Amino acid sequence: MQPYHKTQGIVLKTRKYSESSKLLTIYTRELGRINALAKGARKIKSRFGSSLEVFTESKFLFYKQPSAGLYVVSQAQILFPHEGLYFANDKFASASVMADFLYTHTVQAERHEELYRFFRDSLKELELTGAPQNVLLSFMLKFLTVAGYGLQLKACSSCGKGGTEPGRDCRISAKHGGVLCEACSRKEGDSVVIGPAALKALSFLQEKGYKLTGNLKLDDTSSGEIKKVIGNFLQYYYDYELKSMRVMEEIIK
Amino acid sequence: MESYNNASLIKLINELEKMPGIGPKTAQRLAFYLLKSEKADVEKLAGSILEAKEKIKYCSVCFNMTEIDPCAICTSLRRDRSLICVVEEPMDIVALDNTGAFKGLFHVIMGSISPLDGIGPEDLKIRELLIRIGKENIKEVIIATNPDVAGEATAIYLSKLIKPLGVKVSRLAQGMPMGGSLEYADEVTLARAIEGRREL
Ligand SMILES: [Zn+2]
Ligand SMILES: [Zn+2]
Repeated sequence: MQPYHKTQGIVLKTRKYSESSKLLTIYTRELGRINALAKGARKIKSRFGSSLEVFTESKFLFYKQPSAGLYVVSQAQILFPHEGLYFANDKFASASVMADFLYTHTVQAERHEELYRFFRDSLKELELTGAPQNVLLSFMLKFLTVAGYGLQLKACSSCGKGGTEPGRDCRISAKHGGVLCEACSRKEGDSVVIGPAALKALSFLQEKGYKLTGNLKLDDTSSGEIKKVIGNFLQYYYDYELKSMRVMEEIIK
Repeated sequence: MESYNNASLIKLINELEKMPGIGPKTAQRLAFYLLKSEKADVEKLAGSILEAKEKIKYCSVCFNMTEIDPCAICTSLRRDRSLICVVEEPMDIVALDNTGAFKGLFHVIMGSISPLDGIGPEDLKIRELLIRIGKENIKEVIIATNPDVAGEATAIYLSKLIKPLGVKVSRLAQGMPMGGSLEYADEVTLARAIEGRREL
């Protein structure tokens, strides 16, 4: 195995490491999620500059001895700084939740280029959008889709035959992976009830591109119902509540 | 490691290695230095570590480290009491105070907003800061959180809360590159950053 690895990556998290270094978690295009040590990165005149900041996409050169467990950052060159995410608290909070998804819900060192591109595009859209909460909801639904847990919103996810009644409340079950028809709703206890407006918005946010989701007007009821559905899916498929979501609520309230 | 079949020595090296900036080599060197030292000197060192640990607390006003509560900065009559500088850690007070360019008061918020670690505004000493601003006659708050993403986000969060109180809010000047830690800035860089602070 070669000791040098060249790849693009986006910094998810940084921690202090020893006196003047940083330990980074980076989602890379070639190597998936990895931990890497950046020596001297906490010094004010560090040679890394701001290339190792959270949400920054950089070109990295890592060094790793075949026997060692940790990558060491040897060079980093900024591709996209995403500065727009630092200076608005709602964008910072939403970008943090996105980073937390990649940090918590991916397997270490598992390459997944589609996920990398999706994450990078999501950060770009979040930086530009005027509706960060919509982009975040859309990100979470699209993330579930990339992970193979996309919500089935047309035919009943239990029997596959029935559908939802237009203009009426319906139930969504995480266990079955989507909407339930009238008959199946009666049998299934563990599901979330949502109104017709929320169902329509849910499918819009899941399927349409980010640019369009910015135009969607979501009232508090629908947005609350959608959050509940997503929360239910995350709980069911990942069984782990993201700390960043709680902090986000605190920041944007 | 046969050369080390000595449990107490290994224990000492392990404890030293836990400290920031101390790698295995340095820990080894320190351990051998201590063992070669006079017993009285080693007792003095151990005693002073324990004494400091017992006597030094956080100031109940500004959360600086201090033996006397409130701390010397909070009770000083020679400081400008209309100016508060907000920092992340008690260590940052030392760095800024050494510049001599800042003569106001301090407030340590004990970290920065860090969503992935589950650290939000309510986990920091922000409420205490707002109470101080409401109670004391503060005219300007200088936010000196670290020049990194978390520090910037925290600065913006703070300015949104403080500005409506009718207080001027400023941020340390540029020249502090993104990515660094305040405690590592030299005195000249820090003094310039204080003088050239920008209003938020
Ligand atoms: Zn059915
Ligand atoms: Zn004090």
